[in-house]
Amino acid sequence: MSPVEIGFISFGLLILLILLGVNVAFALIMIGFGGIVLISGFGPALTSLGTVPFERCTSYEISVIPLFILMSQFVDTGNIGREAYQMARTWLGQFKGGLAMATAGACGLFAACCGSSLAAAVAMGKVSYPEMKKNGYDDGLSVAVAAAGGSIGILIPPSMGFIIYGILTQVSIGRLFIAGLVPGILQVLFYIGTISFMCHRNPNLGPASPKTSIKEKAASVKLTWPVILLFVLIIGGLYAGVFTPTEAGALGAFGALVISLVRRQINAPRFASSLMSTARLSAMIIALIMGAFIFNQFLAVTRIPFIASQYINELGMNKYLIMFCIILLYIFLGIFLDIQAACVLTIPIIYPIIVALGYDPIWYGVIMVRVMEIGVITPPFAMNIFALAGVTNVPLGTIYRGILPFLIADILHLALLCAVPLISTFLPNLMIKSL
Amino acid sequence: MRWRFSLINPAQRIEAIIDRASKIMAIIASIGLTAMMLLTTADVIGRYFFSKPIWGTYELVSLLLIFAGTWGWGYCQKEKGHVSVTLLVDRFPKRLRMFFKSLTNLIGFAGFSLICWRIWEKALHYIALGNSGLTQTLEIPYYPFMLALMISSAMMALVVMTDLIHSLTGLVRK
Repeated sequence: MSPVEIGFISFGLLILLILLGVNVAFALIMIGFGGIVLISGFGPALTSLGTVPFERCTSYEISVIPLFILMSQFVDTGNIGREAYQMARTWLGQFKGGLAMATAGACGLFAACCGSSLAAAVAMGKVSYPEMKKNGYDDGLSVAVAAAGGSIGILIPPSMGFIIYGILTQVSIGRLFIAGLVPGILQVLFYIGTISFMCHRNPNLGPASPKTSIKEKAASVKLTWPVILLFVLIIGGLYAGVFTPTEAGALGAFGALVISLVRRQINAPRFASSLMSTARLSAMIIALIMGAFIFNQFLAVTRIPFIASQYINELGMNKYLIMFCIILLYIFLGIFLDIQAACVLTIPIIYPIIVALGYDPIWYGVIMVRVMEIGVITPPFAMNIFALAGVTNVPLGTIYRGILPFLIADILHLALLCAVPLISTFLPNLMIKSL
Repeated sequence: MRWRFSLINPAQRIEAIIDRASKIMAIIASIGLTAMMLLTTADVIGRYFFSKPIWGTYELVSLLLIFAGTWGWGYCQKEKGHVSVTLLVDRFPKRLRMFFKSLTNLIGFAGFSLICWRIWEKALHYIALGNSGLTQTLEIPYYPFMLALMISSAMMALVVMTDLIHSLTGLVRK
């Protein structure tokens, strides 16, 4: 068998094993190892099993992962989600569908400290759903907005999707973070627009709440401003090239800890449990990345990434058509894989193709992360919806009906990002230097 | 109470020890994590406010990642924190599900045992190298960190092994 054949068979086997429930990291390690054995023999394969894990587990770049997870955990133990919702509610509640808009807005704020879509959706759903129910909002709308809002988390930095993409492709994580900012804010605006449109057509979906005074609006900012300041500090520092993403993560975690300490929202047991969950989550992602690098070494030996990009170039197909196919593939993958696993599995092959086609790697990172988040709210297998149905006890069918307008908004948003790459690239291109 | 303890199946006792050890390792990972955060914060603050950066922060943070990132492996496995897709498997009959679970655990056990062995060999090689296996700035020897990674992979392999035994007994027993 030629290396390319071995490569394709192994890749098929990898997908099969993962679908059969084999742990993604385990499958990557063993298939990568087995593949190198078949092509280069036992010696080189055993050597890579010693070299790759040690190299990756002592990489300064990868240190960014535990630090940003720690920041999310500290933010999560405090009351940031509730406070963000209260603030957004005071500002937006007076409009038709205002409480739902507030959920979308608060999701955007929460996303600024949290890198995970599912965590954001659940945290926000727990806070906002009871409020919306009390005010006579439609069940489908109230849950759907939290499910969709959670997916903003991955575009607005810090985002685990960008971190993994950056680590696997050597694209600057700082630039990716900055690139996600405007698209993320746009996504919030798209959702707010969708809610406004729906509630104007059918006012029963979400009645307006009483108007709040300017004074109340100003007061509502009091609780949230330290977190906003922290976010501005971190992103500003990255933008100005003052510190590396790893340093931004450390400062973010430290800042979030200080804010919670000052407000007495964190005590010793909570501090310890945040640390333990971070240790658990980091272990999971580091194992995945280690597996990915072992598997990548095998792919490099097969030369599949090189051959695939060459093949695509020789095919002479329209590059926009190829992009369209890739987007469809990612929507499909997003349905049953979480974003970390999907990134790790596809980037080694897709990324060289993207570069060969002449697309901007930063722009593509934004599109890829955005597309995969559509998968988490696409019925019938939508992780965010499953989780929220469990938390709120609203039947799945009702949420599926509620999510439809948000899916349409997502597709429009994606089309806009694809059509105008400048939205994603102008900020990172303005950056003078990045560490 | 001592006599009652001795009646417990030795296998269960070993499992309890592995359990305890994986948790202690996760606590060490947490300490490593805190150290990473404090060290980096101190370095940034020192650099910009007192123009006194901490010498070798990059290197120390990278080395601390061994603890922060991998010493939680066993604990993560115990808590079922590793990513797998169960969409299809959940619809299988119990017997078949147990079979695939055993397969997963077998693959994981093999993978982490191999890694553990290879890192051990690498560490021995570095110990033999003596003074040439040092980090660039701080000149810390690499081998203790290799041993640390070996220990975490060994712990992961052990935890997966206990899971493997459980899934195999589940497969054999009805």
